[in-house]
Amino acid sequence: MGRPACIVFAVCLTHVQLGALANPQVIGKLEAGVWTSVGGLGTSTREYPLTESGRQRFESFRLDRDPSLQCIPPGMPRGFSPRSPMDFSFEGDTLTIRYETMDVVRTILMDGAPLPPDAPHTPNGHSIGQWTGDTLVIDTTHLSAGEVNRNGIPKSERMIIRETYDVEDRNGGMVVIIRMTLTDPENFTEPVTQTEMFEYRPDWELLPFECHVTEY
Amino acid sequence: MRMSVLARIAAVPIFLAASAVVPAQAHHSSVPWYDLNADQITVTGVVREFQFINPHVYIIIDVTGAEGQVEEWRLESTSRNRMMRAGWNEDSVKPGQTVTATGFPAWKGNGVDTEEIIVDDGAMVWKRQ
Repeated sequence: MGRPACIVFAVCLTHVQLGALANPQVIGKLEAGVWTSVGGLGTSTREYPLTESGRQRFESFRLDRDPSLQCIPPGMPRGFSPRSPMDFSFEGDTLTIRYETMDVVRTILMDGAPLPPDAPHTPNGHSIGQWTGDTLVIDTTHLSAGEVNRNGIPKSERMIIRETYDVEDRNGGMVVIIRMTLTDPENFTEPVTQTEMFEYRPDWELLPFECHVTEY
Repeated sequence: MRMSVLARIAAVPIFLAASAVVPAQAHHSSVPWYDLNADQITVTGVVREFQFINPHVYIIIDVTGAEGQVEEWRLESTSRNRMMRAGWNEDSVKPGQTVTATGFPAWKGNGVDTEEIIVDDGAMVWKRQ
């Protein structure tokens, strides 16, 4: 092999190391089927450290503004917060997470491409995934303003969500530990972290949600 | 968990006492959902309507208070899909049955975000996971 070829080969190896660190076994486990919540791990919080403006937004939240009552998916992080059953599929440089609640489909880009400067703010935001060892790390920005949960805890367009996913074998079955940290300087005085455990249910499929508009 | 009739009757004043703490959170009174930081309350009543739907399942019950007055309470549970996987269906609760529910009180109005539902002394039981 000549010197130029070695340089090209080395560059290619570097690219592979940066862009494809995923452990195929971990991906295979995540793609195995449906995962469902078995509860928080003691670090979930129902208390949010609201800023003054966040508190004002919280207190002015009204029932008739809640999109879920109209069967409109409220977006991240609330797509996750009901502990909805979910599944994962990796295809090329894209990860798709489907949530049963509200039939939400979420796309995470795994190609390392930078965010377009004019990216719009949307309910699910712009999510970029990467692997750190066997941990899947997802960063989400460009969220639209709304609520974190149905009680009206607010989120702003400045919110950043970091999620980590770790697959573990416990008690003869597979679980995925999901840690989600919400950073939102407009609404929270400090980041808020929730930790949840989901277990693999080989006997489950995601069911259609068939949402009914709720009247109050 | 099974409760005696006496215990279910006793649960009524318990919920009345517990609901009395809600006004202490008056700065949240405009929020229409549930006070997840409050003490849980228990309410027992007779089923008027069972709504087995997404995004949330509801049981509407009539609760008889200490003075004999009847009030309508709305018990909210998880999604229909989640309850289906726990063995429930649209016939799991029928009008006229007795339901005891424990959970977090609504900020205003007669509502409970249920953590546990017991139908007719255990004919059907659901616990939030």
